[in-house]
Amino acid sequence: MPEAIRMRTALEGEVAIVKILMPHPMETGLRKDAVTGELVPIHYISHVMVSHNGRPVLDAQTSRSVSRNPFLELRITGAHAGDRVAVLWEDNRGESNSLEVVIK
Amino acid sequence: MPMPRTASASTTRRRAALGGLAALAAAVAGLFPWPRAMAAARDAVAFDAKTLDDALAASGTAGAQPSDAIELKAPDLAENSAIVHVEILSRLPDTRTVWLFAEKNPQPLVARFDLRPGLEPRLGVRIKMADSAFLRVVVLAGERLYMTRRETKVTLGGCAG
Repeated sequence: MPEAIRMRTALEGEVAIVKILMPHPMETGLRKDAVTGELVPIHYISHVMVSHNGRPVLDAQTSRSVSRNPFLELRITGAHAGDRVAVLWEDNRGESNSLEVVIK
Repeated sequence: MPMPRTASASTTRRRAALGGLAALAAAVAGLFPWPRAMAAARDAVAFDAKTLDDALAASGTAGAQPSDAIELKAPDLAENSAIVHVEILSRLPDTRTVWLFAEKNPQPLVARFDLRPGLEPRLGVRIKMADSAFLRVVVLAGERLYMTRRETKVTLGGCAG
């Protein structure tokens, strides 16, 4: 089970500033294990989707070039307190995780 | 000559949108695991490309017109090449898709963002850079492609982080 996603939202007028942190190793496949000396297999988040009240607002395709524990900041318009923001990711192994928060 | 390439980018984008919507609807309904349709939507040829020219060609973003309506913020000198904070802001009306490239990474296409109505064309993301290089952003706005690029130097080499 992947570590929980963290998401913070802040309202500025009707714009929700959303900051998302997705714990994930984001292995490039180029790094050698310090102990065994073997290459650590490639393992990265390949898709991230964000929705606002169930309506998709962002569909992102990502690569191993995104930093470990990917961080994403975005701004949703027409947002109000009580609205729901959801994020989902899937990685190259088919693992996935999701989180929904309510804007305060 | 942006028109034929734009058409191909839009087609890919629509495919991605269909997969994305289905996956999101299912996921929000609590129907895990995530539908396999997602994997098919990935622009794999562009992500697998090993040179900038190949990545631009495969993603349909070659020949984009330089525009100062795209803001690309990144450090001039990044102390940690594994965590380079990048901010992208497009002032182009009807910005639909944003591609981010690190021109000297082993696979230059870093990410592709398909924006839907209700999202400001303004994104922040942290990326790895294999070497000092130009970062490039291509934006599909309306039916045309625009781009900007800026150089970021890194003090520690390697994309391993």
